[in-house]
Amino acid sequence: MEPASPAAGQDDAPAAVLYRQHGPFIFAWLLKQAHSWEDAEDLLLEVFLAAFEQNRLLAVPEEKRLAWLLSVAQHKLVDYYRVSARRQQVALDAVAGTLEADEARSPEAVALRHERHADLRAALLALPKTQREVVQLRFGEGLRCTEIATVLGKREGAVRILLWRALTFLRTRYKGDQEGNTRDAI
Amino acid sequence: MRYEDEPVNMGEGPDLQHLDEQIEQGLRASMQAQPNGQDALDPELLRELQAFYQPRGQAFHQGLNRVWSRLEQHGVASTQPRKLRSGFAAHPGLPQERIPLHPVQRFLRTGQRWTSRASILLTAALLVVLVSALTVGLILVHHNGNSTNGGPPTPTATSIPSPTAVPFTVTSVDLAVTPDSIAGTTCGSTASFTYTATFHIPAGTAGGTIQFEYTLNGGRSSTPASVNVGPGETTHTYTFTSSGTLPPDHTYPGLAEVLVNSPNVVNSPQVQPTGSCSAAAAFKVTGVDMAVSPTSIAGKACGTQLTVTYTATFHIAPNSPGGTIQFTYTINNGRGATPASITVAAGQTTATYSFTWSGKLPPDHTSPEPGGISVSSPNQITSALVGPTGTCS
Repeated sequence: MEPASPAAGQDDAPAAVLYRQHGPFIFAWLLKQAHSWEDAEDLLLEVFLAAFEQNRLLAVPEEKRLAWLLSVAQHKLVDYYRVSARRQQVALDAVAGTLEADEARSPEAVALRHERHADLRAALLALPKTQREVVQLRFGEGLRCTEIATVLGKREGAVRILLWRALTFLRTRYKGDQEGNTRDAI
Repeated sequence: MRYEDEPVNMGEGPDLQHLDEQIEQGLRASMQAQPNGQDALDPELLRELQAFYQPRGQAFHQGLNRVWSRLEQHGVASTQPRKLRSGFAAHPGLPQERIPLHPVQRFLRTGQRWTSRASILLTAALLVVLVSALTVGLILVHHNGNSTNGGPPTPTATSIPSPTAVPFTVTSVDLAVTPDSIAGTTCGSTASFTYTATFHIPAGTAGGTIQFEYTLNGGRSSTPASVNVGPGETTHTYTFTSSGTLPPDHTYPGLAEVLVNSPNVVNSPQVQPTGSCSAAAAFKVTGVDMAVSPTSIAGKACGTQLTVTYTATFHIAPNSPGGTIQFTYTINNGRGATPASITVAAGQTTATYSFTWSGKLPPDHTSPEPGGISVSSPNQITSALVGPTGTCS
């Protein structure tokens, strides 16, 4: 059973609203910086514990809350790097395949996904790394261009261009392959 | 292909200021759209990308949920912990999951320079003036039209209702299961369940395709499916089935749920047959009844050809998991025995077995003789010996 979550939009408590509003962005940013998914979750917990301690975040003007959270996350990340330098770490990429949710890891789900998305996966792998990251943040984490820009340290306009280029490339290559396969089948 | 280190040309492509909204619009309402070979926002491609990244999106939201749960354990949330329906954090990137910023708030939060802000404010003010002028103009035209007496009908600015396209969405999904209870069934027996999902669509849509997944095990795995909804249809049903053995640990049937991915995200309630199977009793033969046909040979002439049928009825303990009964039968009062066996299913409480004697009725009345059963497995039990009464003449 999954834990309670404000993600479904059912909880109107101020803390839940703030978490729902800023949690995804901070989490995506931490995922990019931390060594592992679990570390990113731990850091996200620490960031919001600090935010909700004595209602600190509520005391921050609304327009500055995201920047405040990001600043706290950066400080937590510095502490994390300091501690993790003394510990052996496994790179996130090395275990990326095992970090999916349980249902996504089930053999039938994996097989089905591979079968359905083999061409799309190949097309995505042909994208430059940054474009692939932009697509993942947009369609995986569900971030908007503004947030993606902050996560990647780029200008928002540049992110839009990168996303547009990636979609154009995928449209040309992946959809082209799909249509070619259909014609071959006919 | 363009490379990421290539200089960014801000004039590239169409207006990308609203790319996020365009993508969401493409994901939402794309089913009726015809694929455009030149369009990077091809709805089908957007859906494929969404589906491709769905596992990561689910993991992402499950991670958020886990952290929220830990935050609640630390007492930071003012609400009581609430159970979320298992396993289905909705896919990210859809508008209803994000708190949309108020336009003014978004405006203030952007890093635009004051000149840009001033120009936007000026544009907004001009728009207000323009709309006000149009409104006054329309009121005047309407007033003049009404004040014309006896003249020909004058077209007025009164808006004519036009058929507006209702966006194709799924407002809710019902899910029902038949049978809705497994109470009284025996664990170990097989069962089949039929699930019917009913999609509710607003009236007046142009129709489209509903893409969804359904799970039969609380979300540990799911099966993709889709249905096509015709124009104006307000409900559409989809049926799927599941068959399996009812295990003693009651893990089957699991929680079933339908998760709609497109045109919007909406989940059905989780359903599961009520009750649970009863634990299987030991497989045991509690009794064997014997019957014989004909029951009498009185009046038959000696030397007549006759077939006598002996029928054994085995009684098995209720709620058993089933098994094989091994036994011997005799047709000569126990002097000889022939081995045989019969298999019974889980929950079966009776089983029958027949055997025969054939021959001419001897004048010394030595046949037919009593017949009966001796069970050796799963337990030992012996029937009474029965035979036709009377003698031939």
